[in-house]
Amino acid sequence: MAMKRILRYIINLTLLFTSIGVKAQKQEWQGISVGADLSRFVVPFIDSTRYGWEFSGDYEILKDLFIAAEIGSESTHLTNSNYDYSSSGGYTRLGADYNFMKHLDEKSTDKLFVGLRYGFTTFYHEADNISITDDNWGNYTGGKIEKNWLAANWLEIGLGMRAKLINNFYLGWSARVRVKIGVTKDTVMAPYSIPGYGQPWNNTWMGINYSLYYKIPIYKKK
Amino acid sequence: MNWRIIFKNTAIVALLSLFIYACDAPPCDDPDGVQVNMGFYYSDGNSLKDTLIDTLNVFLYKENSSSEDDHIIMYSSNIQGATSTLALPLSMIVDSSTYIFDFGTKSFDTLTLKYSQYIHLESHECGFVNFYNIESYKITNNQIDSIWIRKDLVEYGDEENIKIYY
Repeated sequence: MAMKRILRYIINLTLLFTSIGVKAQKQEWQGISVGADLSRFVVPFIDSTRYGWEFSGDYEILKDLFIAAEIGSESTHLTNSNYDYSSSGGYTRLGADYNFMKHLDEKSTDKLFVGLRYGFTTFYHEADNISITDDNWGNYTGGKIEKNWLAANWLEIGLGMRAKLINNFYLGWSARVRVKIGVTKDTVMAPYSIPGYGQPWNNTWMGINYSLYYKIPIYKKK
Repeated sequence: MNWRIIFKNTAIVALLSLFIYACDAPPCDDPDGVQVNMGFYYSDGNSLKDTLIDTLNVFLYKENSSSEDDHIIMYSSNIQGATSTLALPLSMIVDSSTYIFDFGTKSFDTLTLKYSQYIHLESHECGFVNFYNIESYKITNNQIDSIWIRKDLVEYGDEENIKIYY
């Protein structure tokens, strides 16, 4: 009993911290939520070598259980004094979210959820203008590595929140821990980044989505 | 519109993003690059022993050089002291490298290694390196008795590629 009270207290504190508005509503439109990841617009300012886009969608199939899908694309262009590198590919994540907001406020339309995803991608990478300095025998210049297609897959466990902004628009974020399952081995050149996953030399990686959602109203739920 | 939600959510995401992008890439390997590792050995008839070579100069032999001064000295026992091992660079421009071993007795030996090579990305921080596969060799036998290619793949590390029987 005491444990239950502590757990409820922790969850309430979390909600207070993120200021999710809990508003009682009598009837709410239900339907498919589609979202665009806004953080993708910020990534190039933090890491100028990467850019891409990501859209997501989810739909409540059972009470508080949502099926979810995310698709995206990511490209990398890396230029330095010794080589130029580029990669590009699309990725998909499929999974489900469990919304436990209703355990705290049955009438809330906001979401506080845990999610599980399976992600996979196919992407290519190539390098050009490769040079290697050798003061003894002479420098190697003009090297090129032709386009090579790779694939990778991983699992994600996430925690996220989504709050209503206005009408059917929602804003929310989710933080994910990604666990790499596999990536095609390239003995000549390891990829700089796995689209949808992150740094390939780490077996676990973190990811963040910060998305604006629009819930396409399909039916009203009492 | 609840601007507090936007502001606080943005702050949380920004903090988490900074944490993620603060993670570093793995460090670079050997700054000397990829070199072929050799060891000197002497057989006393019963067993094989590491041999310290007291007097030795090793030069890279450049075929197209117009003067002897172009042959770069890679090792000198006068400067570096006696040794039983050597690590020498291989040419990336052609598929063979020739070394001159000057044992200070007015007798020289030359070793030519022929190989295939391929570039390999060490890491995106450190750039590309060249790896080699030794396919054949030629050796003169003035001071050196023979050699044995112990490991034909020349990559990063200290693992011995060639045993030189002296």
